[in-house]
Amino acid sequence: MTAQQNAPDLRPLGVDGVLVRFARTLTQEANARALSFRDMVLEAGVKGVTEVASSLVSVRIGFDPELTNRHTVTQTIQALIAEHKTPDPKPKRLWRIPAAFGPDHAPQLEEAAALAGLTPAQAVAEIEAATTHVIAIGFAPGQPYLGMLPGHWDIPRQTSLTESLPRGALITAVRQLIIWAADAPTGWRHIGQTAFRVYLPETSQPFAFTPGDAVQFVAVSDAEFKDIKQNPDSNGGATCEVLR
Amino acid sequence: MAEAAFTVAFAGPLVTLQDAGRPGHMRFGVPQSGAMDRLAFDAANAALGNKSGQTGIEISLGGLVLQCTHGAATVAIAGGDFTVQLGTQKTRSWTILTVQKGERLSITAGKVGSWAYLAFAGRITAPEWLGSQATHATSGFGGGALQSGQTIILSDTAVREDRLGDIPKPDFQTSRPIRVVTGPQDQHFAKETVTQFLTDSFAVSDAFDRMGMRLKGPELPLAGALSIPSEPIVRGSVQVSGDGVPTVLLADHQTTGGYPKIATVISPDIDRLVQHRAGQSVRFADITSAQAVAEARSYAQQKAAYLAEVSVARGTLAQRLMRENLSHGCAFD
Repeated sequence: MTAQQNAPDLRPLGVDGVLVRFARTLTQEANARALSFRDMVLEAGVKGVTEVASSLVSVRIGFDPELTNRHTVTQTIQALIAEHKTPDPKPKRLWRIPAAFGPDHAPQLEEAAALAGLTPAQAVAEIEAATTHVIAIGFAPGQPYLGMLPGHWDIPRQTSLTESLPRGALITAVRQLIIWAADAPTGWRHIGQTAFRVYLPETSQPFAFTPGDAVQFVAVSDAEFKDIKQNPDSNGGATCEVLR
Repeated sequence: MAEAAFTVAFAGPLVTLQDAGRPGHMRFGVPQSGAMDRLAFDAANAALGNKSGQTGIEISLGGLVLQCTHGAATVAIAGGDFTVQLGTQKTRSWTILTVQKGERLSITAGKVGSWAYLAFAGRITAPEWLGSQATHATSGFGGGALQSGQTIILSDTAVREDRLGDIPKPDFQTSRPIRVVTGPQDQHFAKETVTQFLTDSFAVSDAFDRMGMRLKGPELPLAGALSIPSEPIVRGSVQVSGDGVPTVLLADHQTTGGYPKIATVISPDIDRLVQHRAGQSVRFADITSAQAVAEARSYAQQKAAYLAEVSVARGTLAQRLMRENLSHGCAFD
């Protein structure tokens, strides 16, 4: 940690947890700090800590109140924060994932593009051009938060929720994309469709992504997408290249 | 070892296998899951002398009807005030019965409560996911939701004559407002909005499942917080969506969420909150984080003492009669 960086904010979250918040807004740097701090706490093996869960810019450290207490856990966290250094942000893996953006697969593309000040074609081109990173896994099993898109993609969530979306839906809000894994309501906008499964229960590595992975999207036609969907072994036609 | 088989004659929606859940997987997007009302679930297992957290069936207001097609097993039913029928014998939840081959056990919504638990003297054969049979309802992973027509196989079953009868209900839960600790994103609400959340009355809406309970009541405006970074969610987080509607996140909660969380329901009060039904009113009251820890400790102690009491077998009818006689001393004079 350098002197310029603000010390993270510590707050209770549940009677058995401490939330360590590195920033109030999402930045690549705050995200890298949160992810590496999560790994640091996991590796430290703190007594009584039962759960270390990171999201975009914060980490929740859950503990067993019978084995430890908030005061002791907070002191340990503060000591770890003092030693914490931001790691190398270069991705270890690069995913390329086909996505369809035709009208049947992207009901809110036009709306989201307009909010970003773009035509739908420009929006798709920008998504294809972006190299996003898995900045968190959360909400549903294996579901990635991918960021960050250019600044004009800072689109707020919807005020009301979309009740349900197909799995593999590509959705967006706040300069991020998500490949949707859940059968649940969301306030993000549906702008494309992949056939990618983020969670593969039948494999030894059931969670496809690791935080830090780089992800690019490749636009395919509706006809190509249909073929991809019909090949269940390809996981949506995605490739994964090991970079380092 | 004895075995038993039950055919599911009818299962309503949200009737699932549950155990103590799978903690430690939040960073993969996987919540703990497990029983919605952990006190009632633990009581059902304790009343049979089962190991804590042994897999049982969580029954929703949709109800469950089982037909025993093979063997026999003693079962415990706890939680809410559900109607229980075994053959022609009608009773209510918080009871222990033995179901024999050919008998039909039905557990349906009674007057009060949203969830009941059916524990077996025996082990349910069901798939595990990440080391637990708890069903994560949104993905369907784990032991799974029960479907009409399905057969449940039990191993190591037992008939426990010494445990039949009523299960004492817990009496240490309060009826006061549901206690919360404000935050961790209450800064996104005007002070008056937080006060309104803590003083006004809300009603449970129909949107109530294992993931969460959406409330009806005054709108809680977000002061423009539709673009904050998604942060971790816990069981009990009260998240307010963009339309100003609060939702209490429950056993199968999403692990992260970007709408601001105005407060967190303290863990001891979640068991009684989830037993509310659609239309019932709910009020919230805030306590400090230190008070919440003290309340959680005290609840854990009272719960442990209660479960210890419930887990003592009362003896067979013959033994109980004998004990009555002995305690009166002169019964044979």
